[in-house]
Order: sequence, then structure tokens, then C-alpha cells
Amino acid sequence: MERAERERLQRDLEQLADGDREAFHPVFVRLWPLLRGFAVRCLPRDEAEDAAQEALLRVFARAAEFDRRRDALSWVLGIAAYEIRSARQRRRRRRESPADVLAERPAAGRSPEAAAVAGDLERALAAALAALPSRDAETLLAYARGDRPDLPGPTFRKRVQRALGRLRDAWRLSHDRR
Amino acid sequence: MTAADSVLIVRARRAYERGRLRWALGHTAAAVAISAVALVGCPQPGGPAACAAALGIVLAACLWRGGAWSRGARLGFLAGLAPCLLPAAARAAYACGGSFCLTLPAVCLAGGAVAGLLLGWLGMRLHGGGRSWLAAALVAGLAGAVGCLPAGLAGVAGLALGIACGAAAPVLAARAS
Repeated sequence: MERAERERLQRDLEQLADGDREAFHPVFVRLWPLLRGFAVRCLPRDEAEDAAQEALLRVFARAAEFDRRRDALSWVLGIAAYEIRSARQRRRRRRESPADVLAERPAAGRSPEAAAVAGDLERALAAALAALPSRDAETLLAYARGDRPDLPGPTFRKRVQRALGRLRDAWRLSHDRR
Repeated sequence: MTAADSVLIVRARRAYERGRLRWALGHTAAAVAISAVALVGCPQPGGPAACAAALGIVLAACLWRGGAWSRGARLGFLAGLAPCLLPAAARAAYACGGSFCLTLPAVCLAGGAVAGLLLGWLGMRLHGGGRSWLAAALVAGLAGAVGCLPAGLAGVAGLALGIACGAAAPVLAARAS
């Protein structure tokens, strides 16, 4: 963003923070392409649009709190960066969620070769699970079933992450041996 | 501009107004809590509490609207703190009992004069025109009434006289020079 445009954004955002509704449209016109471009650089295109919209709405929701001593562009990009980080975390969690694991399973009418490969994989997974400490195995099975044990959410997530890490190590070890 | 952008503009506008209202209510809650200190030890808190509620509504509306209204309301609250809290402090210091205390109207007059001086002196630098003056006077009056209503009609009259004289002094001085 050029210096003159940056200064105009600063002025418009200060006016918006002061309650001048006339400054709403210029701020929107300046910010929307900027945030969309910023999000596209950090996320896949379909998610970037949503994250940019969330960031834009968050900027306007917090416009009254904008402190005129701060740099407007840095403030806006700080909010956008937070939204992008949240979108990435959501994506990561979605990838690890049991629904996706189930969706990735082969269909019921699979070929004999695919069934054999799947059988091998399931046996290898069962062996790797058996090699884990019992608490890790229970945690992963509960996670795969979608059950939530009587634990605070962050504690359970932490346990799942740790157990997945150990499962990965066990898997890698058994495959290297082969 | 595409149709999706038009929808987004409407959502952004709503987000802005909601955020602004939340911000105004947060600041108003803090201001009303400060002015509620004046109700501590008040023998008849009904009237002052109603003034505090009215102060909250006016302050929230002015802060949400923004611009000259917001600047005026902030100045008014700052100025109104003196007549709002001084009577409560005087009541606590002298432990006046009963429903009326003779020293309170004088304290309200002094508090009103301080508020008026602040309004006149700082109000001339606001550049908000009539709207900021109106908001400042309304908020200062309501904040002062929270503190001075327990002193009865004499307290409110002292407050009004103090504000009028205090505000007139800097304005007249500026015109003369």
C-alpha cells in the first residue's frame, strides 16, 4: 500500500472510530481488496474468502476501539492475521476430526485388492495401537468414535495430539523394520 | 461492486453498529458505576438512582452516535463528576444525618461552579457546535443531579446556579479578550 493511501486509511479509520458514518464506505472500499489479497496469500482460495470476510467484519466491529495513536494498517493486518491463524487451526482440527477419517475410508463395495490392502493397514494399525500405552490407545479409540471423556476440552486435545505423535512413531518404527 | 460485496457491506455496517453499541455500553457502565458512588449513604436513593439511569441512557446514546455528541458527553461527564461526588464526600466527612443537610446546597453550588468552569473552558476547544454543548450540559446536569438531588431543591438550584455561573465566566472572558 502506498504512503498516501495508507495515510488516507489512517484518517478514515480515525473518523470511523469517532463515529463519523461517512467514513464507512471509503474504509470498506480500501480494506476489502487488501484483506482478500492478504488472506489469499496465506490460505487456499476457498478458505481465504471466508477468512477475509471474518477479518473485515471483525475490523468494523472493533472500529470504535481503534486508538488514533496506532498505525491503522498494522492494526487491521493484526486482526486479519489472527483470523487467518484461526482459520488454519480450524482446518487442522477438521483434518484430524473423526468425520474426515470416516469419509476417507473406502466404500463398502471395494475390490478384493483394496480390501486386502485395507485389511493389512487395519492389522498394522491395530499392532501399532497395541504397542502404545493403554491410556494412549483408549484416548485414540475414544477420539475415533467421537466420544468425549470426562475431561476439559484442551486436556483431551493435548492427549490426542500426544497419542497421535506416539502412534506415528510406532508406525514409522514398524515400517522401517519391514 | 458485485451482489456479494453489497451483502458484505450490509453485514459490515451491522457489525460496526453492534461493535459501537457494545463499546458505548461498556464505557457507560463504567461511568454509571462511578456516579453510583454518590448513592452510598444516601437517605433517599430513589430520585438519584433514576437520574443515574437517565445519565446511563443519555451517555450511551451520545457515545454510540459519536462525533460532537460523543465528545460533548465525555466532557460533560468529566465536568459533572465534581457535583456528583463532592456531596457524597461531604456527607461522609461530616456525617450529616436525616434527609436534609444544610451544608449540601453549598457543596452543590461549589461543585456546580467547578463543573461550569470545566464546561466553559474545555467546551470552547471542542469545535462541536451546539450538539456538543447540548450533550455536555445534559450529561453534566444529570451527573450533578445524582449527587445533588439528596440535598433537595436547594441542592439542585445550587448546582444549576454553579454550572451557569462557572460556564459563563470563561466564555465571557474569551469574548472580552
